[in-house]
Amino acid sequence: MKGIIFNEFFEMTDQKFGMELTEQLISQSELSTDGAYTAVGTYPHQDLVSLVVNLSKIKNIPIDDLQKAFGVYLFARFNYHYEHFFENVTDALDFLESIENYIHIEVKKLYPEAELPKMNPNRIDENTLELTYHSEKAMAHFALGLIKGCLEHFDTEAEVKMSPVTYGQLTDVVFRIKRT
Amino acid sequence: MISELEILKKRLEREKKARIEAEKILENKSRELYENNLKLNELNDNLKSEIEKRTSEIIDKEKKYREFIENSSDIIYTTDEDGYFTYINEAGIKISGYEKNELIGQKFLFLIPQEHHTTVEDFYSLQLSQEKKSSYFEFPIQNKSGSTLWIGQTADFIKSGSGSFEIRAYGRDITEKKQLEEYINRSEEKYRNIIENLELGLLEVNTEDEIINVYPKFTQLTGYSKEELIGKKAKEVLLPDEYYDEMSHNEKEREKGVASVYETQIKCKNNELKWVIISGAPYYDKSNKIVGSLGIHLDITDRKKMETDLLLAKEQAEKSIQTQELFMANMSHEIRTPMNAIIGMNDLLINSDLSNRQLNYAKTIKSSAESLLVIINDVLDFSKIEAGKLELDPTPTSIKEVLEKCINIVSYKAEEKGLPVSLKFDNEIHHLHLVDGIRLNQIVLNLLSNAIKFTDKVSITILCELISSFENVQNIKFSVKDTGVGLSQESIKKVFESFVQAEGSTTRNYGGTGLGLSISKSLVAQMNSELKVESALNKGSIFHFTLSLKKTKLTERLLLKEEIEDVNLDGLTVLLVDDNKVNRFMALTFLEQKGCIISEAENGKEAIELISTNQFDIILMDVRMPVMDGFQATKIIRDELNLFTPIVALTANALKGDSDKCLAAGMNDYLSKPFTKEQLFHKMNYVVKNNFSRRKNNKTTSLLDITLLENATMGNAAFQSEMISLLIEELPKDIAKMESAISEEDIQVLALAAHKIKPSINYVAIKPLRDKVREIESLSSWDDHSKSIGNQIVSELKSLIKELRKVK
Ligand code: HEM
Repeated sequence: MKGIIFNEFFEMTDQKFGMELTEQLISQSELSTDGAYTAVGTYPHQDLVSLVVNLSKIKNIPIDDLQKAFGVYLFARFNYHYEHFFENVTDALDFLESIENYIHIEVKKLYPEAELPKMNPNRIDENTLELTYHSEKAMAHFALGLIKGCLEHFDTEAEVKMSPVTYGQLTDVVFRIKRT
Repeated sequence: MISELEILKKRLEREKKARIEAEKILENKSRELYENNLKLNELNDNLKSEIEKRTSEIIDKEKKYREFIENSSDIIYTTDEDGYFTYINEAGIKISGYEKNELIGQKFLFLIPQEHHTTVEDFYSLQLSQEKKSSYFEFPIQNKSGSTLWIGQTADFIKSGSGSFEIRAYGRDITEKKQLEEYINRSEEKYRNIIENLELGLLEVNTEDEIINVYPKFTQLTGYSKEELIGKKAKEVLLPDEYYDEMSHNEKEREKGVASVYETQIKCKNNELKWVIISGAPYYDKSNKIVGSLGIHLDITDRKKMETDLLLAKEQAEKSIQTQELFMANMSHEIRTPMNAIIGMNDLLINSDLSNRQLNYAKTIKSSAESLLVIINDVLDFSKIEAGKLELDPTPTSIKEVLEKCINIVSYKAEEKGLPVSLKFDNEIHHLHLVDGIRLNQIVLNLLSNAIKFTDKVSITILCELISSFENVQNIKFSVKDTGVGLSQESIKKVFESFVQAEGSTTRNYGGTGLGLSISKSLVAQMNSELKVESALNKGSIFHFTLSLKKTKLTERLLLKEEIEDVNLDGLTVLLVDDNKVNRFMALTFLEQKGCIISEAENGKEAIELISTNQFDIILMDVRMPVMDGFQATKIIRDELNLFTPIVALTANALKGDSDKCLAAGMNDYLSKPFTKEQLFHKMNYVVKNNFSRRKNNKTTSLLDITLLENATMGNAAFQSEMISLLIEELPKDIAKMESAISEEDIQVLALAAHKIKPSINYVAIKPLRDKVREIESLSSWDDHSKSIGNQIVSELKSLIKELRKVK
């Protein structure tokens, strides 16, 4: 997991719960770096899991909700950090449709170590898009947050339905995004 | 509670740590970048040299190609779409005789003589319009020095990216080939002209039998114009149906490349049929493939007509000869039968109790009848000679005896005239020669009668002189010399002509047919000599001829006069078959005098009935009879009754071939009517004594059948006799082996020997013997049966060898 994700996570806890809680979270979690992350570095995914689990305990907030909140928050940050991905794009669904085949591909070029999920798009019609999430990581609610953040960013009213599709030991999740 | 300061401290610490981490990452990244840069430079360098290498290789290759094209002995050039030269190689420049800069920018037609422009242009515009990528064409060019060369050119039309064409052409100087072709064409044309001038009609057909060329003479021959024939099937238009098969055969031969000459008829336009000789030969294209055939037709209609006319004429002539012969035979039968009766009855009359006057009359009848018979014989002989049907029958003969007999015959007449007839015989002459005694007798008798006719006083002499003598042959000169009126020079010329006698009046004065000398001359000629005459008026005549005769020894066939009278026929049982009562009565009287026991039958059928129930020693059989003739009866006696009683034919037919017919029917001998009683007795005696046993043997036990041998050797007699000699030599060895095998009761050796002789036996033995050999071959155990067959085979093989010796 890229350092930037951790830094943004701490930025969020700072903003939402205060610096004191962030310190508490760092000292309580088992982290590979004692909490020192640089944006360009790459760190174990387990660090993020540990942070999310402890925050959920301290604040008594379900993990899913935390993930979702982080997604919403992070999307705005992506807008800030990766401005060029947003050039010429005006529609939320178009943007979401392009994650798999454009944005995450460019991300992989920038950070070859990045471990990115599959976000297979299926454009049903002008106002409907299905994204199928497939990953080693259980970050479907993080994805949901990112989608919500995206809709918010583009000022789009849409209904997002999340349905898991299980096969073997893995569970894919299908997001059905329908403009309202 | 952590103080804000502590928090900040901690954060600073983390920031520092993160910064060091970030710097380390940055450091690593820049090193990585540096190293990558180095690698990139290296790759770059490699790429450069690689590109340089490739470039020089390409330049090299192109140079090679260019040199290759430049130095190629073929003409290679390119033009643009409109035919303007854009490139031309050295060979092209050399052949054209122009400079390179004189050609580049010129149209390629510039090199082609004006009169060929259209054909060449047409050819290539067709290629362009059909979008054919490649083509081959031959055309002439004119080089700078003005001589004409032929070029065979392959042209490729290559579409460039912009849609226009480039033309790449590869040409070769084919002037020599072209000249050769032209030479061949011209000489072909020349020969055609020659043949045409020889009045021969030429026709060319392809392998489908479609007419592809017709020459003027052929159109004249058939009446069809060239246009009417071209493209048609030759057989359909020209050939009458009945010649289809033969023509197809000839066509097959032609497909094999075989030329043939044959006669056939062809249908002309006006439906007339003409006979032609066709000489057909296949002809070939450049690659030696048969592409058709050329037929040369010679009109032989006139010749054919002549041939058929001639054939018809010949047939007619032959037919008329046949009718003539038949007429003669009939006539001779009609005359001889009653003559036979007259002479016979007269003989009986003479021997009976007559007064002197009556005896005189009877003797006159006899001499008249005899001279009539001579005339008839003359006429018959003459017609036979005319028809070329007279054949000599040389047998061992005593010349002296023949001559003495002649004198004897004429002595009565000569004495009447008071003419002594003397014989001067050279005693060096051998006592027996191979000669037709009857005909020699006839010749001399003719000459004698002739001499007697024309001689009134003095003498007639027969001279028989030995001219020369060799080991086997003697040349003997016969002369009849008279002291008669002689012949004028003119008469000598005509004396041998038919129906001509010394004077027109001779026939009236002297009688006779006037054929005697003519017949004698022919007979002498047939004996390979010439009858000549030396004479002068009132000086008498000498008729003479010289024969070259083979000496020979006495055989059974020669019977001396004394012996004839000695014949003993006492007690012989005779069946007399004749429909003529008088004839029967006469023969009966003769035979009774000799003590024969006689039965009579009126025809073949009655004869067979008698033969079935009685046994006879001899059968005397007339040939022509009602109900059943002699031939038929004989066949039944031999083939159905299986009897081998000797049969003598009594025939009034003097027709040649009758004797053969008699023998073929199975008769033993024949006697021509009229015959004297001495002749009859002699014949009967001879047949009973000799022929009976021999014929019987032949008929019953012959084991010989050489049909297969004859077939296998296709009638080659020399080869057959070779085979037979070989068998005569080899067979006895095998027979010996078989005999010892039989005595040792060894079936295997016997079977082996049979197996060995089987192939040769098949060629010469009758089927029953062949079957026996085959049976022995297959036997595997010894018993009484094998012993009996073995013994039979051995004895039969021995007889077979004897028979083989005989046929050899
Ligand atoms: C400008 C837009 C975006 C950028 C630059 C971006 C970039 C990234 C980066 C850098 C990571 C971390 C990967 C790592 O460090 O191993 C990530 C992960 C992820 N991203 Fe995006 N992302 C974008 C938009 C989105 C959106 C709109 C979605 C949701 C539909 C999405 C779904 C995810 C998820 C679910 C992960 C977590 C990894 C996982 O589940 O395997 N991203 N993204």
